[in-house]
Amino acid sequence: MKIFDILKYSGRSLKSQKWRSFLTILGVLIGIAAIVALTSLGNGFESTITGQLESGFATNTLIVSKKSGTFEQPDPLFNLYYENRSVFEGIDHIDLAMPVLQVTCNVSFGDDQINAFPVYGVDYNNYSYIFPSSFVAKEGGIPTNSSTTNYVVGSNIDQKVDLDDPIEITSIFGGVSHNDSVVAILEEIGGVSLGGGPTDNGIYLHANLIRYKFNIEIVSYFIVLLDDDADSTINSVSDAISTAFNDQVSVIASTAVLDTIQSAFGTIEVFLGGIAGISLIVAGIGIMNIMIVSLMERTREIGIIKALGMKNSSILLIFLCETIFIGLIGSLLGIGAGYLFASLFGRVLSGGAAGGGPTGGFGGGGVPGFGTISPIITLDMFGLAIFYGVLVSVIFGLYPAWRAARLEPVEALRYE
Amino acid sequence: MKFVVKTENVEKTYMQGKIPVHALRGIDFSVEEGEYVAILGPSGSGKSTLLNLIGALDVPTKGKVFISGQDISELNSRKRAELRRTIGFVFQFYNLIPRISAFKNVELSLSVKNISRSERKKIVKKILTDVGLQDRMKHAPNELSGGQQQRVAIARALALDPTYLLMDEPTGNVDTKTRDMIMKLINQLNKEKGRTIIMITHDQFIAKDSDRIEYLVDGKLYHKPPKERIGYNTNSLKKQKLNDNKIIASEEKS
Repeated sequence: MKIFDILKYSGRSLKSQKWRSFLTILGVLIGIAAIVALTSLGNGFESTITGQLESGFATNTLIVSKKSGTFEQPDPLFNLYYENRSVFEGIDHIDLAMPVLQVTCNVSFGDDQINAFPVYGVDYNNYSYIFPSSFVAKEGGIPTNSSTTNYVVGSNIDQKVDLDDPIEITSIFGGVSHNDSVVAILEEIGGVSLGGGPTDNGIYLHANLIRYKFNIEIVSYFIVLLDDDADSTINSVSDAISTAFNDQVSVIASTAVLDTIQSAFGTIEVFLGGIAGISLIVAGIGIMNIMIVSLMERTREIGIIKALGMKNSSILLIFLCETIFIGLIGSLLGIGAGYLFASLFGRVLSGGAAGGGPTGGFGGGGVPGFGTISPIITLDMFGLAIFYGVLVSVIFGLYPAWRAARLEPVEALRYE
Repeated sequence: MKFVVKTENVEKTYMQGKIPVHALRGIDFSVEEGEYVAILGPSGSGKSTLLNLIGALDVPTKGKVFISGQDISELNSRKRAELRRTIGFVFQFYNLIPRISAFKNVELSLSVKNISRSERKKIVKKILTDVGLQDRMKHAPNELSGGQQQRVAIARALALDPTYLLMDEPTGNVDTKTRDMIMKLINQLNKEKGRTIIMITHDQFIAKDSDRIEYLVDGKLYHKPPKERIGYNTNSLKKQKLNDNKIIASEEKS
């Protein structure tokens, strides 16, 4: 029997049992939709987050902070001090090492107040040099004078203050206050700072002011700018810094953080895809069940077509084509349904997360509003969804098809 | 003459639970090209088992079955399937596929043979017209009467242009009027078209038109009816045949 005739015969069999076929297809549809929805949403989420991380991202920076080891206990008396800048000077490939100070304050914007909020002390010139695309003022100007006492704030803070408005901060430990005006509001960065970069929720003062007014010499971390971003340079400089600080510091490359985040997302996607895959297996069992029922109902028919001279291989193909049809239609509809669901869910999630406040993060960043999370379906995903849908259908349809093909014509014709 | 089917000392034993049932015991039988042979036997005599063997649906436990010169025991299932394409089966309960039309049912046997679509259409139309179903082609089996369904089944068997037609109680499930019409059709196929026909039945009346009647009783084949055992009456058959011939002759005269 020609393949076209086999396909037609299979299609007619499915059509003759419309409801049963529809429900079986629905099983595959749900399985594929679940996989597509979760993975496309995961992709979209990853893309949004990494996109936000990468904005203003410098690939050639390292963050050097005091080790907070879990496996080997660091020296509890060890701290990074402002004066440790000089340690970096002797290490090759280091272009610049900038200390970032931090003081936790109650921040008052006129009538409005935020408690226990981190205020960062950076050298404005150096910070601009390291992050030339993100530490940029949209209003006002970033002071170049190292004795400035004015604030530079992230774009989210402009909801609380305008340019030239005063901000008063009072340190939680020590009760030291500082009151001055906002001299620059940064352009919107759109996300978490990676590698110690500026954030939309950041409040910045010059490092000298933090040092002298709040009497802080302990540094939160150093941002180290390298003269290239090759892995070998990053590794050699990281080793040299660790050695220079007697292994009491952790040195993290911003690219490594991004890799870790991406890898974590990858793991989460596989995990979610695996959970969704269970529903696809359930759908496969449904297919097997339906095909066995169909086999029982059509035993006599199989006997007839065998009597007409149809080969076992053709009968196997007829049954397999039926399951392939189910898998294919279910997969295609499932991809559409999954994408639709992911889009709706992404919109709900975006709406819910957009109001997220600053809770602190790596390198002093805050948790961003996610913006819009759009599910992403790549061509690979599209192909894989169809592949898995059809594969599961074929795997679970194989046994009934094999049984149909192996039926003895005499037995099949005798079947009531 | 050329044999289309030949059996040599064929035995068939199958298991019913743990009990062996000897369905056929040493059958020697042959059918020549163009013959119309009826195999007459009561229920349980082994008729269906014999049909399965000479239809290449099954293989004998012992002995040999030759179909078109090929020993079916030496063929694998694929070759046996190919051989079945040269046999036209007509079953008692029609065995049509219910969800497809009369046309598609007949066409199915041709698509098994890989015949092109346009050729198939031509053949199916002609054959359904030959059996008088030209205006019933698109009807599903459940929209046809018993007689019409059996004619579709005969058309399906004929579509393959078989070496011989193998009929299992072809009138067993129809009323007398339809029976006569089907018998006439079978007769025409043999006498006018020269088709070889092997018909298996328990009804001696419908066997009367055959060239030869073989009697199957308890798995053994007899050329004459073992009268004392099953009560077949050859005289009544001969009388019936004579009577029918007279009627046909008078119809032709008038």
